[in-house]
Amino acid sequence: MKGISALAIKNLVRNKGALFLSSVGIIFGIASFVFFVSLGNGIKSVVFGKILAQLPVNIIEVTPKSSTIGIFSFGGISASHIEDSTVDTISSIKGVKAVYKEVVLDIPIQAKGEFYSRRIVTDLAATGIDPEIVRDDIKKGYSFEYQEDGPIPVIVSKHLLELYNSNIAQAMKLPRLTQDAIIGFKFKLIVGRSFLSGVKDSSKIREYECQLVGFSDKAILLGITIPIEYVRRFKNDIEGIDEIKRYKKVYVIAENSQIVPKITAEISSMGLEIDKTRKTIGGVISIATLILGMLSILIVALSAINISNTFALLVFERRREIGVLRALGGTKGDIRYMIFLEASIAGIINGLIGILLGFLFIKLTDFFARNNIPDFPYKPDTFFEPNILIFLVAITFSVFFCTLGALLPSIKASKIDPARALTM
Amino acid sequence: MPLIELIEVGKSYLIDGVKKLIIDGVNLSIARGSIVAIIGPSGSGKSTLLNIIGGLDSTFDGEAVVENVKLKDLSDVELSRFRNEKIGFIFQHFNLLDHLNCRENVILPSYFSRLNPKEIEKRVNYLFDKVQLTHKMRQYPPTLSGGEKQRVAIARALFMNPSVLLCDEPTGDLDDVTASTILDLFLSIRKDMNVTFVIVTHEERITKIADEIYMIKERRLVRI
Repeated sequence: MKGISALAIKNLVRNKGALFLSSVGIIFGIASFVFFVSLGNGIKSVVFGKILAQLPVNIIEVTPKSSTIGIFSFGGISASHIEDSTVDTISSIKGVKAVYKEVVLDIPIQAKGEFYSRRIVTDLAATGIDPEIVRDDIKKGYSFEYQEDGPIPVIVSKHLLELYNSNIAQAMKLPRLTQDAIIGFKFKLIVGRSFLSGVKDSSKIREYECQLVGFSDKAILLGITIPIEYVRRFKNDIEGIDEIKRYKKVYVIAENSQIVPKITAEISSMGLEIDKTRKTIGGVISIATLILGMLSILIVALSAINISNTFALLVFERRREIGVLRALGGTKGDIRYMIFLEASIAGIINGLIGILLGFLFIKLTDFFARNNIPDFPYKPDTFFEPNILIFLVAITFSVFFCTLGALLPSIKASKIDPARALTM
Repeated sequence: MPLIELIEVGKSYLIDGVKKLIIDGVNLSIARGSIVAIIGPSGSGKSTLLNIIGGLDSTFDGEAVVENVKLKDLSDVELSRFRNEKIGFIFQHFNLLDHLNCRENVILPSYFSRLNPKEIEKRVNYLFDKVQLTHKMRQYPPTLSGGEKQRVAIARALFMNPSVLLCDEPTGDLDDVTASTILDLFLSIRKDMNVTFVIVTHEERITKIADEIYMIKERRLVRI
């Protein structure tokens, strides 16, 4: 077998020109496979690692079915709510440890303050949330509890800071900020007035001092989130309503992760929606990666026809040589093995060249992105995350399709009648 | 006991749907160490006879026995091993592989055997010395003359120490002087290695070194 292997390598070297030309498709297919799958991996990593930080597995986010209308969800205009009675029902489900509520502040508000020597007044959206659910996100030394006196504690979304750093700071020529640098920042909150809805009753306008105490994924994306008790207080001050009975969202804490599917099923049967953002986004990226990966494999598969034609031609040209090998003692199996080995080695070489080419595309794309695409939220250092598994799969595909291409020619080669071949 | 024995051997081909008989009722007995020449015009079935003796063609009528082995009883794998171990082929057009150097061409039969590297080295050195081409061991066939190519082919045919050398027009592509050198080499090989030669040819000069001469006449083998 060692001798036949050496012979197969010599044959490949002799036929390198013809084989390289027929391998171009396989090389590009493998390169695009490495490129697209690495891209899918990279995007997933950014989305899940930075944008959708993992929630603990025992927390279920529950919203009303189709409760929000597209982009207005950020502004707090809701189509439906979760009623207080529904919250009670959820609380009574076996295995539910606690239910934390989130409510939209549906009173006009504005923020006013000085930010790097600029006076800023802006309309704002706000939600109120049970302090317990964001306890871990509050900066040490600060509190996120309702208090009669003192500034109102405020948390904002981590994504908002990222949005500021990548767009607003650049556009307004303001410095980029870190979480630590901005914690403790104070501003005024004017309740009962906004540019959008104006002033209904100027006697009811109130002004409070607010202080930023933390960043949280559970905070509203474009606005502020405050302890839920303040929402009740504002509604009482402005509308004379002393209690909250309808909620935008509730966070259900399960006693353990094993019971989550059962609770989820019960909540779904109540006509409520379980937050599927992660699952949906993950699914979309996976499907896109799968489609692009499959397209690459299709290119490789179609290229196998080229390989097949080339090997068929080479076998035809080498009939006499195969006849000689048979006369010298080569069995049909030896001839098949030799052609298969040639195809396998060609597959490995094509795979390696394809991987190198894919890697080159990755580096060029990253270089282009670094220098030509403006900053945007969560813009990563690299869009790609290639790994050893992708390389192994790429090589496997290359070898598989090269040997598949050589299958028929190798069978034909082994069936060559040596007596006739030697008279050609 | 003859080394090669053909009993009532016949062979026909289907040409354009019509069965054409090439050889018929051929009987032949060849003793070990002899040189047998088979002559006849082109297309008379000389090469067919060689292919049958060499195990390249197993679809024939009658019986072919070489070294006490009935060739028709062998499977493809057994026939391949038989060719590898017992038979050496020498062709008119040499049939060397141009992308392998002379040494690699000569050791080709070892690729299908279990010879160890030490034994391969020993045989290579002996055979290149025998055909007086040691200095051209690393050269490629296209750089050699016709006579040199045939000497490399002879070294390859002898590599597995076969009992029989089957030669199909071995001097057909060579000039008189070179052809004569090759025939001298045949005699030397027979003397040193006790190899049996079956040579098909239409050249008279080869018959001069033969112990027995046969002719294919009207599909039958006739001793002359």
